[in-house]
Amino acid sequence: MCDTCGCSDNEKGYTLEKPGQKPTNSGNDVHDHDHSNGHGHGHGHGHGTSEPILLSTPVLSKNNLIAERNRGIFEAKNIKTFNLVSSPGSGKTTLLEKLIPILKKLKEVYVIEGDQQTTNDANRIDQAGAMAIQVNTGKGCHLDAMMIHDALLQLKPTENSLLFIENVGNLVCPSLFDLGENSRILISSVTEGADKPLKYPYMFESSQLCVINKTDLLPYVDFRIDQFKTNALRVNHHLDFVEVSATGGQGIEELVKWILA
Amino acid sequence: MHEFSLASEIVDMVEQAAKNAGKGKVTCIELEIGELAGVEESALLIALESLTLHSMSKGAQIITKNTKGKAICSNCNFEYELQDLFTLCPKCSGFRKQIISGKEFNILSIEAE
Ligand SMILES: Nc1nc2c(ncn2[C@@H]2O[C@H](COP(=O)(O)OP(=O)(O)OP(=O)(O)O)[C@@H](O)[C@H]2O)c(=O)[nH]1
Ligand SMILES: [Zn+2]
Ligand SMILES: [Zn+2]
Ligand SMILES: [Zn+2]
Repeated sequence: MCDTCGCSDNEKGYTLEKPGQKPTNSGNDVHDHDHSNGHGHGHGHGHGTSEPILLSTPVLSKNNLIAERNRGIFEAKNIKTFNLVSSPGSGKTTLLEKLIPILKKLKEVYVIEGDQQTTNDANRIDQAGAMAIQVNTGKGCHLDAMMIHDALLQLKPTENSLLFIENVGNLVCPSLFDLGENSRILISSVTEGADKPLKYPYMFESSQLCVINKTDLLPYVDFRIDQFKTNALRVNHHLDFVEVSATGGQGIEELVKWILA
Repeated sequence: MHEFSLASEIVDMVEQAAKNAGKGKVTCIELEIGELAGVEESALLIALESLTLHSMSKGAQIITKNTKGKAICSNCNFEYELQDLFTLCPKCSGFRKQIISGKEFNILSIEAE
């Protein structure tokens, strides 16, 4: 914990919790930057005589490496992994509640639930019959690869299973953080407006499937599905679409097919 | 908000590199931020400033190099510049494209003493 720069609040201050158990800290205190150097005096010169140290390193390289490690675990154990991303309340958990009973008949299903607070979602998944672990990110607005790695150590998914990661409801931050998943599924609901893909392009660009949810509400909202799809394809022309109603059940079969394909 | 976690990655890596080189103070950090990297530069700079306040990078000069966004149209092969991910090909209005630059987000170099 580092209260000088507050970075633990953003990234390393997360807890893991299984339904019905006490929360644990991640136990991963990899934080080692030095706050107690004695150089209090201000230097005036910008470019000194010192030789530059060349790095040419991607800022996200640490996360990307851990993501690669996760991907290796998934590959070795033949675990198909899906990262579910969306704005808050678009229906990720409801969708999982519908999918789990169907998928469970074919494969073991595991869920990593990411939220800033509460274990509500993990409890709902537990009720639906899948093994779940909750990651509370505190103030953090996205899951990162290390959190998934730690969650895997506790969840211990078996070979040939399916793993769903419900990311924090946020259409911006999770797009940059590779978790090692096989595919990223973006859930957009018809109450959110057809210009979402243009407002939050990065999430649409980095996803493989866009689930258009709450289609049962189409008669009551002004949402042009064709316009939405055109906008999304402008950002990512490889994107697949499935239209569903998580509460009503329409389209769920098609989604199951996509997941198992 | 993820600019804070990005800034903390940068500070960690920069200070590790400086320590590895046997230095005690970072005086300059050179970053490459592509126009299509999805990183808000002003937010990142604010985060960097507050994160380095009590560290060995305090007061370090931050230099940013912005790479232009460029794509090749998959329909007509025209190469064009774009500042967002959804600009259509100016030649044929096609939407299928391959981004060829602008997604860079790197620490290029640092100076330390
Ligand atoms: N009418 C309708 N409501 C839905 C549908 N899917 C979800 N909802 C409702 O939308 C609300 C939010 O659903 P959740 O499944 O909790 O959404 P979420 O994406 O998991 O939310 P966060 O985890 O908080 O980001 C609930 O009240 C659901 O009942 C749907 O297909 N149709
Ligand atoms: Zn949820
Ligand atoms: Zn954020
Ligand atoms: Zn063209």
